[in-house]
Amino acid sequence: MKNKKILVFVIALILLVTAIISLSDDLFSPYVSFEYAEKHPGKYVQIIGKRAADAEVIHNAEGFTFTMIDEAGSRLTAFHKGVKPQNFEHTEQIVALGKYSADKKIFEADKVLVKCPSKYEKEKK
Amino acid sequence: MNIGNIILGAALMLSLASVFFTIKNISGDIKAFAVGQRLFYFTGILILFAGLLLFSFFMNNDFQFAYVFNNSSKSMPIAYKIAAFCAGNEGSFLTWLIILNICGIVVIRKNDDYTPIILTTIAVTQIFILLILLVKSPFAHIWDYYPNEFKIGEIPGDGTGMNSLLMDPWMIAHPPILFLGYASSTIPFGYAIAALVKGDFDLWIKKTYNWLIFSVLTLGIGIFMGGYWAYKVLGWGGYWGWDPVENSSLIPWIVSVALIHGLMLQTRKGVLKKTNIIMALSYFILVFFSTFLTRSGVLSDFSVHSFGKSSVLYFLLANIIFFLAVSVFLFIKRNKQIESKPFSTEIFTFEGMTVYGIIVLLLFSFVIFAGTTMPIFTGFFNQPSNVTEKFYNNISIPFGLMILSFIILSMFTSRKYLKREIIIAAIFSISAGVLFNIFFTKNPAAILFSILSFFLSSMIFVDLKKSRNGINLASKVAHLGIAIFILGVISSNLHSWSEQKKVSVGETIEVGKSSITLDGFHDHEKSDIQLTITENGKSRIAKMAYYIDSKTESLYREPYIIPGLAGDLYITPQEYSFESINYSSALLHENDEKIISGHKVSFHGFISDNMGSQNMVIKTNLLIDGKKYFPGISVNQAGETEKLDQKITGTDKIVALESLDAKNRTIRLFITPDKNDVIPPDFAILEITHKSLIWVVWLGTIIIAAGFCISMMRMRKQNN
Repeated sequence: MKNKKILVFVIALILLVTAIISLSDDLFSPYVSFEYAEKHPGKYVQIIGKRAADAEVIHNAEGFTFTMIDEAGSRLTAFHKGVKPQNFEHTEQIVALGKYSADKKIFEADKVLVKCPSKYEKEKK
Repeated sequence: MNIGNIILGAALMLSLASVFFTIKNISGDIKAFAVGQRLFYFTGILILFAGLLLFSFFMNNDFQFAYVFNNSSKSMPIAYKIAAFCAGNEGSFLTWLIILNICGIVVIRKNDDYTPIILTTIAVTQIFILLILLVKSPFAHIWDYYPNEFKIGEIPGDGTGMNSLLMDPWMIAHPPILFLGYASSTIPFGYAIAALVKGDFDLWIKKTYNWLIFSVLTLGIGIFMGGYWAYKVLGWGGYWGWDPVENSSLIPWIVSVALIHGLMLQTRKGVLKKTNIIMALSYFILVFFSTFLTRSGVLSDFSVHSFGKSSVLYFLLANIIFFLAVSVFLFIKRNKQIESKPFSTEIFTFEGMTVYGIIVLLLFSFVIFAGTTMPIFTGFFNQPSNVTEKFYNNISIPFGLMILSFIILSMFTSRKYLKREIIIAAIFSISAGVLFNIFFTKNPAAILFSILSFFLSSMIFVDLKKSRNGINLASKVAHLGIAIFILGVISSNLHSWSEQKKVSVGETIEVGKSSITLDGFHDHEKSDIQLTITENGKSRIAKMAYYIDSKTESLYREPYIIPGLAGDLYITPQEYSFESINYSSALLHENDEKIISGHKVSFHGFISDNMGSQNMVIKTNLLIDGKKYFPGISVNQAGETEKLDQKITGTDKIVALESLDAKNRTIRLFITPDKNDVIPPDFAILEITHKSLIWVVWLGTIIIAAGFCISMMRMRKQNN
């Protein structure tokens, strides 16, 4: 019966997807606080915060370093290897994906997303 | 009330009336259809008029309307004023509505017994979109939109302009084409509903096939265009980032591609009748679900695209739930009556391979769906979790390989090849696949993908050589496009290299065959960084936009792309450092101390000094190399300013106050540099990427689209 074969095929596919998901790392990025990220170095996470305006964005040949502040007010320095997002300096919120490195005491972000300020409200004093 | 909203309201009433009469027709009243049809035509006039009205507001810079104010400005070129129409939610929904209505008018001209049901489906969809438009109206006055900022009747002089990122030629065509795909998905849905209502599960696929191809083609082109735009404008160097906004169009598109194959099989072999109905229903519902994901703000924390949370959410949800309920109800009612022909029992048959291909496509779409909605569903339980790009990339490897394999296998089942042809193609593909990658990457998946893609391409060429008019020309072309697209993806991702370079003004760096000289920063309204690029002895000037966009208050940078046969050279300005200006001027907060042109300067507040003058005079209290100075500005009653510069004792250098911010107590000072000073040059940090064979990706998408075009033309011919 063909239908049985199809069922077997679908189950095989589902098993394949499950296998891929369980065998590789860094597929999920839970939203966490800075504190959690620092306590779980090496775990792939997603953090959100404001850019600390008083800390400069430092560029070097590798990438750039910046500081974020989360809702609880704690600070975290992050490094991103690669292109700085378009509107980085003027962004309201930064979402960074990556891992905290306990040796370097820095959050190594492999992806940085920025949220633009909601366009109008700010301009009108 | 204003005229725009009145028109939309009237269109809503007429749509409701149209639905009323059409349903009356469906339940037996033959005459009622003509009334419903005519009412629908009237809604078309009103909706088109609403569109023209909004369009004229953009053309006339009518900033009393918040939507025009927020998305346009006087100085914008006309082409972008047109594009601004779709720059926000309100205009997007209106565009969708107009296109949906036009599709409706085209489809209901033919009056057969399917038309009333199609008309009802379209009119109900139209009602939902009209409701959204009335809640979030593009015709809202600015004083209603921003009640705290604007008094009633107050009209701003200029608008805030469109987001610079959207000011790109691709963005003029991208939204309308995408909405063509979205809107036309209603028609296969309508026919599937009609099939369920009437209990005839064969006729509907003939009627809907052309519309489905049209929908798949336009949605596909829309997605491809979004990719070109991302590559050209966003500057991160890619064309696809698995962002929710991108995924949300891809998910229904994959389902629609699966549906095309399903309909083809049903036409030929009479199988998959249930599956096709389900896929047609899902395609439409997924289009709305995608809109819900991207336009309602539920994923706003997880996407680079920011769409504010809004009340649109509930209307979209209501829409989805309504259509889902109707679909499920009708399907369960008819489920037992749908009888497909049994499958052939052999495994290795054309329908077998196609069915497995369809399953792979549907499951692929489902996995992307699961990934995209992960933050919502995990958010119900504990901390919301997103999935990474790696999730999608890893999943895409087996699914992509399987899709290629089933395409190839289905070709073997439908046609006999000579042994010689297969052996030659196999030897060619294996060597080409290995040689294509080996100098850049040893990734086994890349090599396997390449071999299969080369093999598929060569088999298609064998086919095309034998017969150009085969019934499957369209599918061959589209499948060839997929093979080429995959080769482009492999090459542009895995064969590319990139480096970050710090370049000073006047300095020349060698990148591949080109030498790049940084000319410097050019300050004008939309400032840019200028490069001179020399290739084969020929020089040209390249400008990369680099300015702070007043609308989004964000730094706007544009990459510069040097196209080439071997690949693009993709240059992104990371940062420009104004060393020369910083040498002779500086920003000082109160009590700051800085070195300006070699002098130690500290700032100790402001002195207002109006003695003996009608003018307002503000002076600064400075200490330069231990001596006191008081440069300032004077403003007369007419508002003209005059700079009160001071000479530095013992030199002919001056110290000048360039600007001040009294509230934050900061000033910008300038001191003439000495002739003998060594002024450091400006420098830029550039990211330079070689995008290997990126044009092959574009070529692949064009060929895929060409395949769908051929299919549409063929159907046209057949119908005539």
